[in-house]
Amino acid sequence: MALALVIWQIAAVRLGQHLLLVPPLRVLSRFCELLLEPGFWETVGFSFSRIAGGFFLGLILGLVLAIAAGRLRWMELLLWPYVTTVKAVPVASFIIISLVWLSSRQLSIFISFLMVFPIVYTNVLQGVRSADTQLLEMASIFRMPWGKRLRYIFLPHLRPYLQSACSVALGVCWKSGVAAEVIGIPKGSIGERLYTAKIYLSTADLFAWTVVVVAVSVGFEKLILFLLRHGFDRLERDGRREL
Amino acid sequence: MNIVIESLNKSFGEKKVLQNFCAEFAEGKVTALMGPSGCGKTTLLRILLGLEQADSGRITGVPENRSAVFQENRLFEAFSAVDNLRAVMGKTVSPEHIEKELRALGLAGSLHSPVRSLSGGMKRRVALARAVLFPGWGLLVLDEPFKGLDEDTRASVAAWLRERIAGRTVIAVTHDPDEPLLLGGENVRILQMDRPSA
Repeated sequence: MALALVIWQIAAVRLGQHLLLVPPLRVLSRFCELLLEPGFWETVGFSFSRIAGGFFLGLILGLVLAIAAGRLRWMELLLWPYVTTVKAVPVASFIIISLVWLSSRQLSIFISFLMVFPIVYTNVLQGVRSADTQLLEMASIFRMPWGKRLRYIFLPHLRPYLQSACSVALGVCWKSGVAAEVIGIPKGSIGERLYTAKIYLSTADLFAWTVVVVAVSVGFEKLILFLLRHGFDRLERDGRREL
Repeated sequence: MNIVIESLNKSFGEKKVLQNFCAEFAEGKVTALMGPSGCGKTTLLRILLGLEQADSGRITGVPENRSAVFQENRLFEAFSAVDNLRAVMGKTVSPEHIEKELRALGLAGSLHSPVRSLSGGMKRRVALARAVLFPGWGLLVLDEPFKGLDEDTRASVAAWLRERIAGRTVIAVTHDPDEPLLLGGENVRILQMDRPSA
């Protein structure tokens, strides 16, 4: 990381054109200025609430529908064309189509949801399908209630599938959510600030806001994966304590 | 009520596993199913448990509440022996009773250790305890119940099992000609199965 920053600094100094490649130290200084600007946290909050909202919506719906589709074949067949379409259609097309349906302020929620849902759905469905059938048969013979089957058989098995889905989806939802904002330009969003930086050829602003997006996205990813890990640990602990 | 099987047929693809199979399992008795590998013993047990559908034929008298020891132990590996039993029994059987029964099976030192750390024979005893102690069963199905147990343990486990299954309907698959005796001596009916003709 340090080496990459040094190479970037040398390249920017040697090029000598900050419009094309701004040095990292200038980006850092602009980033610090941004932190102190009035409205900075409101802008971050605006984008964060929408992109995170879309993520949670995609996570919950993807999880619930994948579990249902894993158990009910007709549900899987019903969802198949939608999931395949969402996976195949370029995000830019969705953004433009969505601008016709939705206000630009709601756009990043929908786009973030649309990117997260198929990743979670596909991963979790694969997990449900590969659940231990021998344990499931045992559970049906001993008439274990569905809650117990979910807790003792499905959730421990789904854990790695869900964690890997979230890890991928968290990165994608930020990239697509901010891209949607840059195209839709909702007032008070990070996307609007990136767009403005581009219009005024303010490369330092462009880089500094990109650093903000990366920092928030990485922080959010770490938080969600931490909560997921601890949530699963707790569920397993509580499940055994309740026996 | 006896379990009556009439003209049962089951194939997996081209392979016939049961062909016009007929049998009657007496209520309150132990029946040992014996026969060569591939003659459909496990398939028959799975049909009786409702885990497979027969292609044709009729089965009557199967109790609603069934219990089973499968060929595999099918335990929650991260759970202890006690928790494995409590996971399926809920609060219907007291933890003290579960512990007492597991001790009787020679598992006193491993009651609260994760099952994954137990030997194959110990896991088999946990699976047996779970099936036998499961409350209210009307039919107990045992697929090679003494698998993985050494001679001495087998004898003591069999004595424990005999005491608890006396007068109840049990169908057990076994390859060992000594096992029907272990399951109930002279009272055990042996049903010899053959491979279906091609």
